[in-house]
Amino acid sequence: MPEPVLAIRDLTVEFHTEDGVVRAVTGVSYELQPGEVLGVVGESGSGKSVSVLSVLGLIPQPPGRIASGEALFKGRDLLTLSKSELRDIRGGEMAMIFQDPMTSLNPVLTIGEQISEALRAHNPGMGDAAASARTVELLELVGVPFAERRVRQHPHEFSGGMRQRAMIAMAIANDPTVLVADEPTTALDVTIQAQIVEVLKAAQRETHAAIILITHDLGLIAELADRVVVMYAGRVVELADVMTIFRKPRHPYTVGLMKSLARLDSEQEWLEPIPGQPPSLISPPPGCAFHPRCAQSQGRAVCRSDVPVLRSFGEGGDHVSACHFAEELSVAHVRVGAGEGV
Amino acid sequence: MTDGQPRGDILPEDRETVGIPAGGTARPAAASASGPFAIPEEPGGFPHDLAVDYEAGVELEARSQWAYVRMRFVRHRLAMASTIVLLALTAIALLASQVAPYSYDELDLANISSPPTLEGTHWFGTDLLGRDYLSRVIYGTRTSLLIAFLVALVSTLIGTALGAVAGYYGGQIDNLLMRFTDLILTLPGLAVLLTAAAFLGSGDLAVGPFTLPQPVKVGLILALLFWTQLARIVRGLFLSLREKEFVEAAKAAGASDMRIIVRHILPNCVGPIVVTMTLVIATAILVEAALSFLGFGIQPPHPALGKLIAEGQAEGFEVWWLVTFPGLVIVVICLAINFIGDGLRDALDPTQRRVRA
Repeated sequence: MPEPVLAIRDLTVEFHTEDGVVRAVTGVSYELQPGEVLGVVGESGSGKSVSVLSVLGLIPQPPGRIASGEALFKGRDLLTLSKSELRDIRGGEMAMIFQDPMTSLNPVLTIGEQISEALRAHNPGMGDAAASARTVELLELVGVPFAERRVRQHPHEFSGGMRQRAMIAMAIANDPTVLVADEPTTALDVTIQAQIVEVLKAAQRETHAAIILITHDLGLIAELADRVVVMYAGRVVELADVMTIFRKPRHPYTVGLMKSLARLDSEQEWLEPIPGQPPSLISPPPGCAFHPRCAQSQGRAVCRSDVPVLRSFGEGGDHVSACHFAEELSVAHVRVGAGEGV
Repeated sequence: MTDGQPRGDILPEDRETVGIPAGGTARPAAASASGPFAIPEEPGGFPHDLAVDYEAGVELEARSQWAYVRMRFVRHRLAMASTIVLLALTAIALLASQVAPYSYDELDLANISSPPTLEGTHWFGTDLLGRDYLSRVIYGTRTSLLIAFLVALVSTLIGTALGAVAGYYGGQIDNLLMRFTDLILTLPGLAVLLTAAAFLGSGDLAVGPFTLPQPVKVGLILALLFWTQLARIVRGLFLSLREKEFVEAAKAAGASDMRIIVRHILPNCVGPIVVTMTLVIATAILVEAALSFLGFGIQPPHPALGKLIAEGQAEGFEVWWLVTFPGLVIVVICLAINFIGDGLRDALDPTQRRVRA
């Protein structure tokens, strides 16, 4: 296996609030291989965004605090870099696409100004003409029609889908090796989502970047991801390649996520939601954080007393799951097929 | 916008389909001119100024942002009229020595306290020493405008810088700067001004190798007291704007703090800053008037608008023109500046579509 481009090891991030210490991310480890798309899934508050944002130095500190861990990127630990070293990496070798293109673009600057900003921040010698030529080229690449004229327009003159394309153009401006897409389609219409997926694929073809895709949309995962990290209450609960996750999930939470997904290929009157609420991260349940909502636990004591560790299951590459009773989850148990198509 | 005119600013949503057709197999580069989905730039047969149907995907004109600002400002009639008035007044003030019929201290002892007349040479009449009042008002306008613009410039620089730093960094820096602002704000303005005027003397002020002319001195003193309001406004704007996602996006793109402050956040504050600046100009003229009225500020024989009113007011109602003309000029300047501020605020907001009459 080649050297990973980004390796997050044992990352713990806390937020100090008035109500107590929120452990948003606890002991998270995952690796990003060159050129792959790594999906990070989980409910709101599962720590999927924070695990990545903290690596990029984008969580406010304080109240945030990186309690432990390391994030190796090209042999350097990102968590120990100075602010200016990190700034050079952000937008350069590691770029980011945000969730809401409506608010992530500056309303008073034109699209062209914003993209050439990103270019110039990392290419100090770049002239006006070169920057604007490259900007037009980037917009054409992400499928913005009439790019030469569109660069002179403001974000409010762009539709949502076009804005997200512009955001993607900005992110790939400096040929990143790692592209972080934080819920890139959540704020968009379903029809536009499909187009943005295509743009993301095109962007990856162009830059050969490895993508971290943060989402709670399993359809998007099925469409784009090579490997999937499932997070719950700030921990990684399951990690496998995308086929294995959909075909043979080894964690009851993953199974729950699959069951709560509407499908076109089965007669299904009702969806099966996961009962209960996501746990409080200030005082998470003892033992396995998922046990109060777990269909598998059935009140067994070990779920309430011991935090399950990630165990390897071998089938389909490195499949790991953190459940005491992962073996009980047979394929027959899970009435979901592979996720081909959205 | 007149109906039927081409609108370069609105594009139909169905353009979404131009770049990547449904099915999603084509490369996005299809939008470039050579691709199969390319759209001819010039649809044949239509005159260029007609609103060509949007299905053709032809965008007729994309204006630059400053073109929009200019367009919205020009359509704001009151603001435009005010600009013309202010420009005219400024021109007259700058060319005072050419425009004014007399010098500001030239005595005409044959015509002392003569009322305004269109027949003689003294249109605005003369004062108690026989000085031509039109000339004195023109020179006074020059002094007052100089002070006003100086105050506006300096106080805006100070207020914006302090407010931006306080609002962006927050925490202890914010605390320190804002308590300092509060301190300045609690000073009784007039008392401080009078003390400063008394302490610094009434003539020109020598600072090292430079000599500050008297109006500049008064302007700087006023500016050092007038930045507080703007600092608070800018701080408030920065506090809310720094939480916006586009700031986070700029950070994620590797922009430095300085760049974010100046390039990303500040342009979002231009509207309130300009409006506050115009208010400061108006206030500065009035405070200068008050200061001169109390006998500090500009010293005789140099006229300033406030000074002229102060002198005229002592003479009673028989010589009404001594108060009326400089007063009118102050009113006109202040109104014009306020209207301009109004127009600028509307014009600088890029999301503003409505054009005010």
